[in-house]
Amino acid sequence: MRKRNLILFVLLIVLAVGILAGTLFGVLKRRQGTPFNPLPELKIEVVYATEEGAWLRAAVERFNQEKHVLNGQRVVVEITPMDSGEALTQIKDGRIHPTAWSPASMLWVNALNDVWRAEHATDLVMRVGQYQATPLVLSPMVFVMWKDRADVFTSFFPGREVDWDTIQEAVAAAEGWKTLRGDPNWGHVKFGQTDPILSNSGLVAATLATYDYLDKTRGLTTADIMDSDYRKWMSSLWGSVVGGYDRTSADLMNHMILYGPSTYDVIMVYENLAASQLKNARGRWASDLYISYPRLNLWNDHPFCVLLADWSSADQKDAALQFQRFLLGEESQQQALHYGFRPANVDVPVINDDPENPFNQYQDLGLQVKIPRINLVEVPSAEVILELQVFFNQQQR
Amino acid sequence: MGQRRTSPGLILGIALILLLPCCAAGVLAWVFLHRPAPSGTSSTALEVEVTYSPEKEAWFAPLVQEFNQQKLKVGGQRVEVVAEALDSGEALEAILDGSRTPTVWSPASTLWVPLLNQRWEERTGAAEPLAIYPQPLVVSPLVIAMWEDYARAMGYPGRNIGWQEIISATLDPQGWGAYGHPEWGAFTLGHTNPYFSNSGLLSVAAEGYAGAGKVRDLTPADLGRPATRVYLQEIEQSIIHYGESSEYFAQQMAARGPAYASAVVLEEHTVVQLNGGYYGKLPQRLVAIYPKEGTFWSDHPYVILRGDWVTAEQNAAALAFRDFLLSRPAQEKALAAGIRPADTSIALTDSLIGPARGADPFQPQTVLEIPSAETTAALLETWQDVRKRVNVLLVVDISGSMEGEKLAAVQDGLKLFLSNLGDDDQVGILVFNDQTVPLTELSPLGPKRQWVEEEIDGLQAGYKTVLHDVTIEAVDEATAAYDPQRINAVVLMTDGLDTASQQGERDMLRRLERAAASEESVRIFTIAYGKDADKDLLDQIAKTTGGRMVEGTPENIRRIYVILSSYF
Repeated sequence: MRKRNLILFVLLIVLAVGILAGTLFGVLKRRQGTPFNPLPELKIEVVYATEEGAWLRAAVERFNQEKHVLNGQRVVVEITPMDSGEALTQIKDGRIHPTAWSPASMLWVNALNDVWRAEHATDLVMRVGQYQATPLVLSPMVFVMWKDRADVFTSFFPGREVDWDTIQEAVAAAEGWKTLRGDPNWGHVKFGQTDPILSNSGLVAATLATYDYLDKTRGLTTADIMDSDYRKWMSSLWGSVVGGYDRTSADLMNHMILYGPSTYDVIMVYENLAASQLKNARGRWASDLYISYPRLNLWNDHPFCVLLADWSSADQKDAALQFQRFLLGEESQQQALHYGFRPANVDVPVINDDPENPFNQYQDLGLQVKIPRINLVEVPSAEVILELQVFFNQQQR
Repeated sequence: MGQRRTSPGLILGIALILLLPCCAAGVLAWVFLHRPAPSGTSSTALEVEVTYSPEKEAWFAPLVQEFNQQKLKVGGQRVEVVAEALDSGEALEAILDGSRTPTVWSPASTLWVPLLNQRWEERTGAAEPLAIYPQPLVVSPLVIAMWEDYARAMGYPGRNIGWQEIISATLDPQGWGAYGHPEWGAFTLGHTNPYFSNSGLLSVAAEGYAGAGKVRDLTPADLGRPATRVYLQEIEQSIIHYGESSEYFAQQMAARGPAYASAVVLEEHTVVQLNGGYYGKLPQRLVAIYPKEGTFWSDHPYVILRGDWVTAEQNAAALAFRDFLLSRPAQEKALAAGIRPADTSIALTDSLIGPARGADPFQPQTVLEIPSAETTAALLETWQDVRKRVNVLLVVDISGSMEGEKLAAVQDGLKLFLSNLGDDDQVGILVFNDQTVPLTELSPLGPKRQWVEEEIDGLQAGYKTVLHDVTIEAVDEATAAYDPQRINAVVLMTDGLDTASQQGERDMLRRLERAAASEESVRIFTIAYGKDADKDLLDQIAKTTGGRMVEGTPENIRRIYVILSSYF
């Protein structure tokens, strides 16, 4: 065979094999969506409180891209947002079967265990041991007020803080801001909170206001909620709400910026929402927002709870723990700062050199690295919570 | 020697034989990879009917088109949004009577949502509300749009002006004389019909608050007090006329300037659009007055209805459309239409919402509380009692070309029109073909209502058209019966050209001009019915007298009469 013909022959064979291989690869790629991967998938589903959304979605994307492996299986995390109260009901009723759940606060873990124990004589979430509920990020409750109005407010109440007692006095003022020596065109002082029946932050706000009125930090009883003086005081506060009761604190925070001081002078929300929204408020209205911390508070610690249910395998439970460790890792915790959360991992400082971290940027707007005063209150019993919700319902027309 | 040489042709042949199946496999694979979408895809579109308020049409309508072009699929079906602009009150009634069954309703304000739920429960006994979780798409505060010179005469921008002051000015017999400008005449205010339009309902709510001396907790008992009712009645006396939509007011303000009205109640973005020349060149700038007692936000909520006509797929598709409307590119487009986006990460700085367009992004400073469904219903009832009464002459073409379905549809339309009027409204009917025949003269409707309806049913078509003559006769009759305490108007419907009048077109227009310039001016609303109507002339008649021309067909004439009833 002449050398020239041989070269031609080889070239044609190479071309043919190339086309065949390319075709096969294309078909495989089409079928699998990703390059061929011999490891089987181990899927876990995590139901989470809506407030964690932006941070958690980004974290899941990173986790899945990093291709974590457990016992020869590739761990894939899928997440579903759900309000804490709704998730509790759906888990209890067996309508959803997540591997893990991250509600807004430990309050919901107790509530789930209560209802679960009644039917199954065991807890669904552990408080100790390997699978114990573990806080992911922290956020206390804060008051958010427009800065110009906060200045007038604090001048009118010298030596007193922006807190439930002063807010209640302000909303009850007959001529509103004019009484407080503010601009009469600001109208009445208008408070805002979320719906305490539908939303965790609304329930926490009502609970904190009640403790503050009674000047105690524990032992809230149904008799306290029935007290007529307390009801009058609380009705006056709720009577100043003109913006309606939002279902989620994210909606409330967003609406405060959207409708501005026309509709909300002061609201109570999670610190992380306020911190992450300060930049959107800047320049939108005549004034910035200002954050204050109430005397009595509750941490929203967003616990990660691996559910000890028979619908997930041992591998899935361990994969959930792997994901939990990832969320508590330095990178995820630093990312949480962008969304206004405080890291639960004590090795990650609140202040760093990250320009996106609101705790670096907005201390002049009241955002505190170290909360100056915090007295934690006891989570009320289910009975008291129900009474509070019934009272709220009666107040609505 | 002896070594056989392989033929080059043979080698090439073998190579080609090897190559051919590979090429064929390649072609097949290409076809496979580029085949149409997998099975399960239906060729029929998944229709999502969306009824939305026309106030946001400039922003909304192009987005519907853009969304449909994306050919999004839900459950294997391509989603097709079919959107219709319908005034909030009209949409509410249409949903309640079942004539519209949209998947999504987006009225101009959340105020309408509890009203729908309350009426739905009354009508169906359903324990579950029909509309829940309204989500704002874009927002715009309700403002009093006033000509800048006029606003300055009242102290703008240094002084904050409120509902009380505007209302006092409309009631002051000195009119603009009280502000040093007697040449401007009376302080005239306009707002839309609260039964139809959002800005009308919110205006009446603001009047109710002003009358009760409150800014929150307005109750039906407040509205029932004699002092409040008298106050509301006095305000409504100063109203030029009502109307079904803000858009009509905007068009009239642009076309006629301060002669039309000193101020009208509109959403902020309509003022921004007016100053941007959206409705034509203005004689002077309009400014948005944000009432100092507070105002209301139109929050244009997106509500997926929970009616049994909405399938799970439509619900999912409606959610996808909502996400599209709330996406950043769609929200940024709201700013271009002068509306504030619901996405708060989009800054208003340097947007159209600024002083150059008569708006102030830092306003409003306070709001009035949205009344409960119960109070809103009481507001509508009170308004019906105290609204300005009407003197309206209905002029109806019964010439030969109106025979058959055309006349039958008009007969239905006329009866619907009358059903929206009260017993103490004054109504006259003038029918014409080659002559004019007064069916009934201007007198209270109550005692003759049934008789008039029977007369309408008995109308028959025939002969020619004396359009010019009947127009003059109608104006003469309405002017003779002019009552300053009432809205005085003519509603003229015709389907063709003048064929038999004694008076010429020029004579008729001159008569209208004289009438329009007099103290006792009567507005003529014209309906160009069918394709042969003289639209140019009917438009000229309407414009000369400050009325409005609308085009009607046998299919829509019933609705046209209902819309025109909103002006009274």
